[in-house]
Amino acid sequence: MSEHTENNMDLTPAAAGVTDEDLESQSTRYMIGISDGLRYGIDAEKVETILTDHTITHMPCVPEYVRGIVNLRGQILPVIDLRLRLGKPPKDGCIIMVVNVGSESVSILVDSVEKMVAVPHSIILPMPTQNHQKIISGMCSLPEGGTLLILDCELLLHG
Amino acid sequence: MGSGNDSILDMYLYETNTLLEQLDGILLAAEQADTFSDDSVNEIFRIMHTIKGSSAMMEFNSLMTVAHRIEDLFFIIREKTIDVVPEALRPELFDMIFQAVDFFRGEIEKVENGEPLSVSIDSIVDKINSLIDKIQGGGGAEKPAEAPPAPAGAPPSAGEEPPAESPAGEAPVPSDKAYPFGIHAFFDEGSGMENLRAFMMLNGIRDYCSDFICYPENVESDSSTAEIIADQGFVVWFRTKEDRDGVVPAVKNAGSVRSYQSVDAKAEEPKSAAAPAPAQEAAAPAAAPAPAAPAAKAAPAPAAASAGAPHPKESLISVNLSKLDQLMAVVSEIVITESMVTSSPDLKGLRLDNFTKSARDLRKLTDDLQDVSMSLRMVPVSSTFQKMNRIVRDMSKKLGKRAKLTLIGENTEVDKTIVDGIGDPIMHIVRNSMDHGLEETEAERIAAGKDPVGEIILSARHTGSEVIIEIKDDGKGADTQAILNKAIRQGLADPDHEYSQKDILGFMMMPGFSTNTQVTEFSGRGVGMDVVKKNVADVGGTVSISSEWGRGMTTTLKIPLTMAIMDGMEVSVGSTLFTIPINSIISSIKVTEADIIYDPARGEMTKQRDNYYPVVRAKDLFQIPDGRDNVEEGILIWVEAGEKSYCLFVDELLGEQQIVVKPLPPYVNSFNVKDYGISGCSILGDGSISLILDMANVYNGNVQGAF
Repeated sequence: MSEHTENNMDLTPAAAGVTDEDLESQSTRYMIGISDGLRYGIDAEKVETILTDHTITHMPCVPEYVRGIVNLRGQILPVIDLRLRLGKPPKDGCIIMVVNVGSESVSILVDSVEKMVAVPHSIILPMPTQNHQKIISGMCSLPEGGTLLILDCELLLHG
Repeated sequence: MGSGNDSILDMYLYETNTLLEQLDGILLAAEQADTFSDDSVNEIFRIMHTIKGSSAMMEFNSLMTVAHRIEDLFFIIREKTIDVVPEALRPELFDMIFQAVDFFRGEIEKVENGEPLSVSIDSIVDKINSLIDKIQGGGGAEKPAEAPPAPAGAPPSAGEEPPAESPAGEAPVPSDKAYPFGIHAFFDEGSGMENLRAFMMLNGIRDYCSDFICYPENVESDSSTAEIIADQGFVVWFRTKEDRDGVVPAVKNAGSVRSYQSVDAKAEEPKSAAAPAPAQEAAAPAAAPAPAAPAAKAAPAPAAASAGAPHPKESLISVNLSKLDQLMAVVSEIVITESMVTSSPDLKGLRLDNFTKSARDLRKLTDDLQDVSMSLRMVPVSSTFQKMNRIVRDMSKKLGKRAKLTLIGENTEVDKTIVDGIGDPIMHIVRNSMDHGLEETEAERIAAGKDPVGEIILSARHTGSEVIIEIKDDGKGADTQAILNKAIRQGLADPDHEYSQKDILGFMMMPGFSTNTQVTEFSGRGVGMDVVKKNVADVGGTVSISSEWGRGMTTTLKIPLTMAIMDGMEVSVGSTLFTIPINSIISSIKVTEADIIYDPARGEMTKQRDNYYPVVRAKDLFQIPDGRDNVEEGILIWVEAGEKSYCLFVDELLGEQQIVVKPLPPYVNSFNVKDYGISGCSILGDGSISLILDMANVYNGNVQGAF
């Protein structure tokens, strides 16, 4: 029996330190996942759940970054390793973020999950480079320092 | 009615297909009796009428026109009884209707595939017309379209309420003061077939209230009313305000309704009195078009059918298959989760009497739930079987062989997807039996001491988790020597080898084998039994043939009850679990290093029962990091899939298990894993995932050297 615990993160804006309603209307809340030291933001609306310590079943005949499939309450989901997808070395003991992309759910493997932030649309800037990281749709600076890369899940799957 | 156009189309297709099937049944029965009973004439009339109406709604003009002509034809027959058709014309009549049914089927198929419909329907319409002429010529009856008693035509409808309506532009008034509450509806401009749209609307209204009158009348049979409706709109009058208000949803839901409004007659009464002249004018067209007369008589039939006795509430509903799939998936999960809970390792060593008792109750309920939800997908094979009647009939006419088809166990239920999958194979086998199985002439049959009329028995029955379908003919049986000779000629068999009868019959199912030297219209294109075998294998079944020379042939299809659940062998390779379908496994073999033979390219083979088979290592094929390399530590599983037979090397056999088949996520499928033999997955009792292998593709993936 594979054990899994679900951290039901508090998804209210208050938890992310945002109470201003005006800000709310023009901003999007992002869940921050950390992978290889970088912060990636995933639209919090699309994050279904977060799993830790879940058994991943190896899947042959797929690219290396598809680590396999997981059984989430009878739903079979593919697992995409963000590190491998971005050409970084793999790491053990990761956290799975289950994200809804279009009509299907996929799970994304990150090193850890940080918190939720509300980012006003106005401060999101385009990525300057045209390198392999085409799955990033924009970036911004976080109030408490550091940079957030906005992950485009559609591109992650089909890009 | 559904919201999207698609659901209307779905309904239309479903309804029309059902009607055509019904029609086929009536026709076959009628042909046997060589006459139509009054009931069946009425029924055919009604079916054609419905097809015409709904096809017009969907703007499938070819369907509508043909249905319309047949309706005309049956109108005559209904009026004058079947005696109007002279004996000599009857075969022509039957053939024509069968042809028309085929035409409908063809068109419906085109609709289903999104292809354009036939434009040239003249030949079939001409045929019907000429038949109508012949009948009328012989029976001395008039064509309904030219029925002359126009002046007298008004009374039948006038008997109830003479149509007296206001002209265009003004609010209409009821023709009968007992019906003062009206709804005045306009259809989309240029929508065409306004009269039929109005008729469809009336049908909808009848669901709510059957006591009404309408203007213009006879919309379903008199196409000239289309113009009036387009000009002045269509008005339905009711006795009470409640009735009127009640039918508003039906009016709203009717197709192409541009606008509608409620009208109360009382307020308008003075106006209508002031305009008596137009009223007369309007009465004239009602009487003038000749068809109005017979049509008026035609109208009561469908109306009476729907409005007479209160509708018995439908006890059947049609459900989208995907919803049932969803239900099945959830139920399967419940069953698995239940066993995860009750066999949780946390409970080990605890003595929990109450828990155990409740768990047992729960298990019983979930079992029931699983059975019920499974039974929802089950449909009887009767519709597939009934279709064979038609094939036997057509072929016995064409080939000049008399034959009867006996159906046994039509009510046997099978999963819907499987029923869809076995239709073609059964049809093919029945054709084969008719064409090659039954003796060429009756004299031959009599000489063999058989009934001159050949018999084909189609039977279905359950055995545990399988359905057995047998197609049995009492023809001449398979000539094993001829089959063997042919197989040798085709290079399928080895001339020096001794083959058992079973082996020889097995050649018939090899690709490119067709015993009949002559290719006929029905069978013998050399894509016969091997396609049957493949189609049956696609739904997880097997085909076997047995035959006795001179006594006939029996083809047996063994098919699992459902595809959602299958018997699989769990095997492990390192930490990865695979499920191999039980019906692909021949045996499992422990081998030593010495049993492995190498080809020049270091490919591995092994010898089993006088044949060499390639060895495929699952570990290498699927690039599994862990797992055993030494053949002596693992086990070979000898499998057969399609024409391929080979040995798969795995670490361990874990045991046989019934599993619930789940599809892989679309994202994973986008990497074409199916081409490498991974067709799905299944969740085991402990929550771990096992990958289901499709043995034919495993082999293909291997030989393509895709890795």
